[in-house]
Amino acid sequence: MERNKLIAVIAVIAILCVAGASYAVLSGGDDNGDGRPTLVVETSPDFAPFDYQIGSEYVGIDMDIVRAVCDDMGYNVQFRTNTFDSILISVPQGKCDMGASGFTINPERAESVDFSDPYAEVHQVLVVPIDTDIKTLDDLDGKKITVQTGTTGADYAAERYETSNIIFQKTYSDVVNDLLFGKADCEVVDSTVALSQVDAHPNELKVLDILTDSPVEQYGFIFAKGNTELRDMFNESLQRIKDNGLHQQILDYYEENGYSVETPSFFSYKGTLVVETSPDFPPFEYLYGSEYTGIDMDIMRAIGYDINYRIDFRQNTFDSIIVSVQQGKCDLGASGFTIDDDRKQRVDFSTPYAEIHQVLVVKEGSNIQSLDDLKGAKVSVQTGTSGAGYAEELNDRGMGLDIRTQKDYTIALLDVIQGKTDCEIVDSTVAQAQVAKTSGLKILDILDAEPEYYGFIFQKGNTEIYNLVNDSLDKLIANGTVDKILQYYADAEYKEVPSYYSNQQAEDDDESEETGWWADLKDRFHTDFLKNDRYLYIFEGLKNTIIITVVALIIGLILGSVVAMVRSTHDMTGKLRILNAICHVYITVIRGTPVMVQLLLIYYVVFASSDNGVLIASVAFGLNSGAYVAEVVRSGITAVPKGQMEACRSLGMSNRMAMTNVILPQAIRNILPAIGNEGISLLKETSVAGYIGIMDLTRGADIIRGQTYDALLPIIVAAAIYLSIVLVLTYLIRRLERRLNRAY
Amino acid sequence: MPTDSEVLIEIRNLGKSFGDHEVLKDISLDVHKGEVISIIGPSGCGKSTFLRSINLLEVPTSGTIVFEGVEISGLVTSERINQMRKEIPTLPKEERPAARTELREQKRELRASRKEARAAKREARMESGGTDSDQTATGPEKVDPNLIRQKIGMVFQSFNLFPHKTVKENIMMAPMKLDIMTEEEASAKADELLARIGLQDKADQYPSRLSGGQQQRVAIARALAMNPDVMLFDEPTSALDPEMVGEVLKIIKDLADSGMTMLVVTHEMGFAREISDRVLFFNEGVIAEENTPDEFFGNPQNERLKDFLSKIL
Repeated sequence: MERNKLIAVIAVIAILCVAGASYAVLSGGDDNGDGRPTLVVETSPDFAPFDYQIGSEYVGIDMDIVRAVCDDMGYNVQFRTNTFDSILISVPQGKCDMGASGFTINPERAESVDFSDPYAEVHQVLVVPIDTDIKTLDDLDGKKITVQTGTTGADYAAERYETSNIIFQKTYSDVVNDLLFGKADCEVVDSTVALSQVDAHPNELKVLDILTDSPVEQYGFIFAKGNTELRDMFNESLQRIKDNGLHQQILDYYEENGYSVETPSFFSYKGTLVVETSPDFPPFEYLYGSEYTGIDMDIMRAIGYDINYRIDFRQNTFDSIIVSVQQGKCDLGASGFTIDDDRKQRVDFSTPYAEIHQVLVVKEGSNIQSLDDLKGAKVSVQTGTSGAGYAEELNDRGMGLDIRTQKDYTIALLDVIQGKTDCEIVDSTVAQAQVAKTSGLKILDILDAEPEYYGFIFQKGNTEIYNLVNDSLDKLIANGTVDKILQYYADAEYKEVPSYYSNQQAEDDDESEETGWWADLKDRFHTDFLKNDRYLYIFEGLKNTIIITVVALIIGLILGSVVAMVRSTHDMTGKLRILNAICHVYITVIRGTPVMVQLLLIYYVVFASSDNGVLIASVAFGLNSGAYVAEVVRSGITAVPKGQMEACRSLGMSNRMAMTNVILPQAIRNILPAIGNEGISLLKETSVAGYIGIMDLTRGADIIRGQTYDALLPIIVAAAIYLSIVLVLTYLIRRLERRLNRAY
Repeated sequence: MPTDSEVLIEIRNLGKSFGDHEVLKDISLDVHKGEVISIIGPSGCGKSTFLRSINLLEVPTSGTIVFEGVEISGLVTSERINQMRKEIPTLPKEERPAARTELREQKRELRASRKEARAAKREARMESGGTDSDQTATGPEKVDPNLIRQKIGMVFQSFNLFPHKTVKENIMMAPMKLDIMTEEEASAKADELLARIGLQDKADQYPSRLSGGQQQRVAIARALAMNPDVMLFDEPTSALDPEMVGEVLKIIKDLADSGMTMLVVTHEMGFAREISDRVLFFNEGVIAEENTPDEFFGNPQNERLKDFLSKIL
């Protein structure tokens, strides 16, 4: 029965871990399931500037026009490579939805496929070696001509010249090679493609636009005959993007870049911005499900769209963001930062984008009516905020306030709700969000604090990023986008709604009819864990906690064993003096400083330029663990009675033989349970990892607390999870001890 | 008469000090093959130290020990190196550099002799095509202390059995690990020894299940498994309940009767009188009296011995 219970407990924990892991894996950036159908488009990406590839990305005039049209139709696009000829077979057979590969619209082809409306126009030209002697159309007689099979250029050449003088190549790169290596004298090809080829070989090739009898052709996309519904939908959208100018923009874009094969897609990002935020500050930044939402987040998104940069949001604690920005661990910070002179010394501020002032949040029955009523009151504030500074200022003016500084403002609010303080001093907009969410509170706008402004923070002197972002911000302020965003949140009464840019519908607040503590508990459970998928924070946190613990334990075991070996070898034989000294220092320092301090040192000093929190935390805790493991191993060896070694030696065994066969096996019996305990300690120690912004189990619970103002349930659940893991581990260790003790 | 047979161990002017404390002053002794010598004396007079010096668990400060014709007191062992290392800080400053140099030399010698021993062993094994149970010195110059110890068996006051191995495994371990016997040979030998000490049915038990007397008997069997030429007993029954003393003494007597060369440090006077060819009285670091058992116990000469015997007997 005992064993079955053990299996059940392990299974539960395993399921939790697997769920957490799979959530993390699946949520890695995929947005399949956005409800849009996909079009499969075949192309032969060897036809710059219409169809080519940069790395694995499909780029070119055709590709970008298809992207633009499909987006307008509400479809996703998936490109697939095929040879030029085969596409003409693939499309009619229905193996793909359409073909986009610089197909010239001509009656012969129209017999087997349907064309879209034309989207580009070309005529045939010659591409020749730069030192050619060809000058006019007549010079072509008897010359060797190379063409790509199946193209208009091929047809043109075949109609006019002896086929024995024509080389039919499968791809354009083969054609160009013919020219470069002198196997042919010229190439007949579409005008735009010609420009692109010459751009790639400016010193070897040139264009001769002398084919006066070449037809003017138009390009179209091909569809299976009879697939008129798709084709008509496509044409409709194609017309729309011609009308709104996007189509011409795309063509101009490629022309401006000289049709070079290094031109990236018109729609590609020019870069990425890493933005750090502490998403526990509605309505400016919070998490809606797993999406970063709020005034600050949406303004950043607007900037991203404007400058064509991808925005990567990353979460960190409020205090740590400034340090992060200073050290360049991120590009900027967007977290409701009030512009003040102290901060200006350390970071640069953007143009202000929002204005707030300090207000009081009090319980509805509060007696406070004016500023004077505040004399001697108990006040809660969040550490490091301007509200905290203002409270100090009031005391300098003799208000005699009893100021309680809390780590974050949700705890500050909790103080008010629980009656521990009389009021909270907090930014006006945040106050509105707090009051909207919690019943029984009201706002008193009676303080005489100066109005404050929020700005984004940048690394001092980093003018490139500063100008990039701030110029865009100025533009968005001027054209009213920022106002629209602010209004959106105001209209929602600062309740937690999805992003201004998202398509999601806001979940209706379900007003429960039941009352009573059980109903209240159920309600709280629903809000804390089920609503907005908040339980995922617990899963993600648990996953990280376990990863850090396991990796740190492994590092600690290896490091500790090595150190223990060094020290006991030195004790026995006096060798390895320097190594022994190093180990001694290492153990002394680690055991003499708190693990939190070690973590901060390693994150901000040793690995200052890295931002992989989980890895850094694992290393830090591993180093910490190693010192304790070393001592455990060493004392395990020393605890073996001296007589054992003497017995071995008197039998004629060497030191090494004695250690391997007699001493170490006995030492391990002493060591293993202690190592197990070290593992348990480690698990609990990782709970401070949240201090450097890692989402471990404790921080996951804390984030939920920040969003729901419910301190009780999330933290208890986290505690329960820690406890169950520890119980399982303890049970396993005891089993191990019993088994080891069995023999003797 | 045993004293007529060859001399196995020749001890001359052996001295041992721990720091300032001189435990052994000037011991000289010949141990003949087949001889049983008992050593008695008050606590702290150096009896155990003397015994442990013979198999080099203690490093002699002065004097020589010649075992089967080989001078062993100067051999470099890790015990010697450890002791030298601990001593260096206690020396006056001027002497330290020289001492350190000597220590380095000794370490180098130890490493070299270990290497040679391993190489020679490998060679010997290849040549003889199997285990070689009759190895002596590895070559004309270098002697491996470990090989010397294989021929000197020791039984401790606190048994020192390996608690994580069964009784039979305890007996088999050293011969097998040292490539002296194959597993079959070691097993057969263990069975034989277990029968000799009357503990066949305990073969697969762990030492913690055995009584003190049984454990000590196993310890004796373990030492005998190596086919030693000499057996050293360091107060073998001092840690036992009176009831169990007898069974252990019987084994030791049988061993003596079978012709084993033995040195026994003991407080069991009757036993010493019964089995010994010679009895020695250690006092204040020297052999104060040495005689046949009858003379020793019947007609003690030394004042201190008379005093000692009157208290004990």
